[in-house]
Amino acid sequence: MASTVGNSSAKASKGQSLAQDALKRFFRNPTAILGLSILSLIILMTIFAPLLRPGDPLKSNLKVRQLPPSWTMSQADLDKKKITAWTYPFGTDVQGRDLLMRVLYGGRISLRAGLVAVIFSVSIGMVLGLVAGFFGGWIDIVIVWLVDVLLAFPGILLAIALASALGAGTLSFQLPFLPFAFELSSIEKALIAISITQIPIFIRITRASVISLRESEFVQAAKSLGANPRRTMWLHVLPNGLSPILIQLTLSIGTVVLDMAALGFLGLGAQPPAPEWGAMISDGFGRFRSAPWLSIFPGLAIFLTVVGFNLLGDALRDVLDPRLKNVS
Amino acid sequence: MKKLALLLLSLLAFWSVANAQTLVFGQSRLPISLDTATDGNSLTVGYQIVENLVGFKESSAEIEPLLAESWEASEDAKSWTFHLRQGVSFTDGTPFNAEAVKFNIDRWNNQDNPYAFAAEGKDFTAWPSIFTNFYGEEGYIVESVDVVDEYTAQINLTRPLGYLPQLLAAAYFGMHSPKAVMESGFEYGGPTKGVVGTGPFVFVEWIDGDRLTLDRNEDYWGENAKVEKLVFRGIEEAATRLAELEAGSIDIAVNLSPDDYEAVSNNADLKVVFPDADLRVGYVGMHQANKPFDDVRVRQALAYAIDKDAIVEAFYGELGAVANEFIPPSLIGRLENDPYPYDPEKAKELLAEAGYADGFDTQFWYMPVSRPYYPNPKDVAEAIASMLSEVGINAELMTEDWGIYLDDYALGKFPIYMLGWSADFADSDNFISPFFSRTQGPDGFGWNNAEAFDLIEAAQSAGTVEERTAIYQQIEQILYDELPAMPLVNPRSLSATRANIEGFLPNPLGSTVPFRTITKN
Repeated sequence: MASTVGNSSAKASKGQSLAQDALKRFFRNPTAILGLSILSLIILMTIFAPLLRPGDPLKSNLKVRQLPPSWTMSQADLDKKKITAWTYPFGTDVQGRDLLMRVLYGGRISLRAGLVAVIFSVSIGMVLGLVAGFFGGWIDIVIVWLVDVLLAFPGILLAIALASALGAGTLSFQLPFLPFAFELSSIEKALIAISITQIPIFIRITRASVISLRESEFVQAAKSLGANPRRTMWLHVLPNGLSPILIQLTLSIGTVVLDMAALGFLGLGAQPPAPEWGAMISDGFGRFRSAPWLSIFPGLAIFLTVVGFNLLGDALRDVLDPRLKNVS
Repeated sequence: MKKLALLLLSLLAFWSVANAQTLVFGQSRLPISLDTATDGNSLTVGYQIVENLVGFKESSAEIEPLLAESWEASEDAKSWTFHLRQGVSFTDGTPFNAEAVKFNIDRWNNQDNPYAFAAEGKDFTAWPSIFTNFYGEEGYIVESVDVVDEYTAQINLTRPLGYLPQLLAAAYFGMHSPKAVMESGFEYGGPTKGVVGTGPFVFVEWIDGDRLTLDRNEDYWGENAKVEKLVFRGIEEAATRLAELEAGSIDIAVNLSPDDYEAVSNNADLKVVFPDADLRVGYVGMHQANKPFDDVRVRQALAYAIDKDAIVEAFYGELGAVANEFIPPSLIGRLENDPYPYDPEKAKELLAEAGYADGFDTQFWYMPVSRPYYPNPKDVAEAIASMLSEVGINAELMTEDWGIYLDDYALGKFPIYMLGWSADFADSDNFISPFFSRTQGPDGFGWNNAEAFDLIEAAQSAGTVEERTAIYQQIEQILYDELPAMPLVNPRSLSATRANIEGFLPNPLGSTVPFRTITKN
């Protein structure tokens, strides 16, 4: 019974569901289309990397090391290396590896990292934020205090500190009562470090929207009809507070991709020879004047990915925020 | 406003005056310690402040008198007498005399000496690496130091040693002021206390992670240094060092990447500098405490799996040659035999024989800093790891802070690792004992070969060059067969200076470069 009340209040007055309405506006929004196309392109390219550039992105080939993008090379140079103008469109790196292949494979690391880290931090952050906002009292005080502590550090600094504390290389550890040991690779450790920096953001956003919803009519109505607090929290408050979380989630993926690259650049994330974008820029950084392509292409990849997620996040905010409904 | 402008102007004038007499030296790191550290970055700085009994001729590995004016050995070469230069003082006023020599050598030689600070954790690893062991421990060489008179010191040995002066010329063995050591205690040589010597420069300030400053010693016993101030800076990346040199914020950059050879040669503002022949070797160590490297077939497989020619050509070009043995060209006792050829099939066969037909997982540790023997360690490591993966050896690339790295490799924590050596003195012994002697072999490589240990000691006390040559060849044959480590490259290190710098003459021995003669025009 109670759920009927909740749903009907959330429905748009024009007789369309919120989701339908949002979707329609989403596809009318040019920013959304742009963001989505950039991201789909990148995601498809990384998924189909083995088909687009068959080969091993880790294998050195010292005979063709540090070649500029082959379409910029003279015919004589191409002949000398026995390659064509399109053999290495992005050039090769210090080890003679195809840079295009490495950028494509690098997308797998960065995008997966973004997704996993955000899912991890949103699931923890959302629950804590929901509990804090809905129940208030001492739980709220403790959680907010924790958030304040975490937010006191700039995100990337905290990530660097955590990643350094976890050390280099593979970390093995055993939890009590479990028969197997856990192994964390450097990338996974960097992921955990970055995820932790994202958690307080999600706690804060969830808590804020829960507090505003807690006193709204439809929640009060559910309460007065006798719904228990847990049911009210999960079925009425949370679904209606989702849109800011969804927006932040999209934006956070971009941040995580960037932070991951920053850690990789500092040597704290992916270890060589993994084709991680940040680590690739770091490799090329020292040779920027003689071989700029080493950093330019992975840099472009990071740029496009982050721009893609940010455009998408912006568009989602335009679409999902009821106050902006008639603006577009 | 006017005042501010005036202040700025005077500051600017002051800066340019100060700058003209300040020489800024860019190396890959600031020192670890100025007292007992053994790495080139520490020694280069220390060598300007403290002086040895025996020095080196200009840009040569030949020795000449320094704080000792002359020396002679007893007939059996078991006792050496050094006649010291008179009227020399440490910069804290302590006179330099035979007592000071005795104080220094006793403190290095004897771990029980209160000024060795061994109990507090100081470990002067250079001593056993060159003199086999500390006093009282197995195979130790230096028995005692006698003060014959104020300016005559006699060093007594447990067995004959025909080249003691060469050993004492090694950059580790500078004479420190006894008073300063006693007063500073354990912290002597660290950033807060620095060191006190007799040399042409005086320690002023060491800001960790930033710079280390020395001033000219105005009361130097010899000819004063040309520049007033010497600033050392630690700049980790070779490319950054070059960029700073090009920008003029440093005057000399050492250990540049061979990749930059052309760029430096073509730049009119810079001068390329490298020694005629470097006494250096870069190697890949395999520590036998880590399975499966206890099996000689696995170690040989690794040597067959690595294409040394390709690596040296790609990462060194003209500035390196493939090394097949530890003793570098120009020294005695080389085998000159064929290297392990690049043969991945042979490597796989050997691995299969050893029971690793499907390969194995291991760790490959690479150095976090560029050193003359490995200017770009990570690049070489990645190339080697890629080659190893071809034969099924799946090596995870690892690195850590340089100071810890130098401790950990000797603890046997690294299954495979990169390291290298710049000679302390121009003798084949210096490319054998520091690695494979009875005291060093077990640390660096988990290597325990009694035959080799005996031969190394025999070579040290052998009388003639022919005898020593023959013994070193036997040792090299054992090293070739047993392969505790694979020599990879004999590099020539590339340095560059601004065009207005004269007199920077790198020494084939690496750290023993005197800065006294450098001028800045």
